[in-house]
Amino acid sequence: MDWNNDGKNDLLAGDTHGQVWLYLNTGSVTEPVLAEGVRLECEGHPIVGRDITDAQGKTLKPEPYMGYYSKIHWADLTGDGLSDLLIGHTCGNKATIAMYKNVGTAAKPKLAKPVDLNLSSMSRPSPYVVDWDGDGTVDMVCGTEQPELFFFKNTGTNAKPKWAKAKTIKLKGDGVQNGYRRRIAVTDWNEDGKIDLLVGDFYSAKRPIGGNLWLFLGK
Amino acid sequence: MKKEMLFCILICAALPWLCPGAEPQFQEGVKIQANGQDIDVPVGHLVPCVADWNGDQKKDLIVGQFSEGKICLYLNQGSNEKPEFKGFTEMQAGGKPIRLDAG
Repeated sequence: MDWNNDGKNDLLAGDTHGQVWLYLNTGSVTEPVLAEGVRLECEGHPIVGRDITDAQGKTLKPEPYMGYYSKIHWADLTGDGLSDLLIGHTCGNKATIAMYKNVGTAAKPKLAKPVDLNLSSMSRPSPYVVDWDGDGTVDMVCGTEQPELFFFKNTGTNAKPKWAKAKTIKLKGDGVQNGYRRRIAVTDWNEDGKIDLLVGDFYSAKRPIGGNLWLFLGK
Repeated sequence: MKKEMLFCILICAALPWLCPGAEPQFQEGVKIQANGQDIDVPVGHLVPCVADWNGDQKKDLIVGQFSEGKICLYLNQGSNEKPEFKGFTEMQAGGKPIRLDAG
């Protein structure tokens, strides 16, 4: 991802406390060098889901709408050409997906107070935005804590998505059903023009808590 | 071949283009390998991300890991059509390996 639209890859990562870390690339396109991570903020407050003490010994307290166990995705969900921040998180006892709309610019993103996407209840969803069915509008695909993957069709528009009921995406593979806590990436892995799917999980045949990376090529 | 059958096959083949609302179908999954072995991290939970990290026009693989909060970079040693991976390097920021709090 390119946070500040300077043509170089940056890195964005969520953590267990709900913080979202931005690592800006101070190197070049071909030799990236990442600066120390900084916390993303919303309305002048660092995004964090529970009380933590930072490196300077200062206590960071969350806002009521901020959650922990952040699973992040950076994609335009408001049709304005700017990527927004999606966070699958646990807020109180509820696992939801929050959208922090980017109200800044391409070079200087600024995150507005989030809205809950109100998708049907899932165990700790991990959001991924992609035009899954090729109809020109972005859809949502979510991995969860279980060995399951859900497709939410966007029946609205790119500017105002409306989410259909969850549909299970069925995957076949030797032992793939053992791998809970699914995280995905959607790509055209073999460049054949069809959507392929990468699935990371929390199981391997070798270790009870290992983790394999699965490739599902599109038919 | 009977005409009807040929027609049927043509329709089936053209279906993804005739119906742009068609959802993708997948082959049976395979595990991605590095150095000829399945990628398998201790205390796993792999979060995959595909991007051309080093600007060589080939997709690379960036993988988050659970217990130590590491981020591993697998540079593509193959091609875009047939990505291949050897080892990985732990991604660094501010001159130190990245460690995200996990739990």
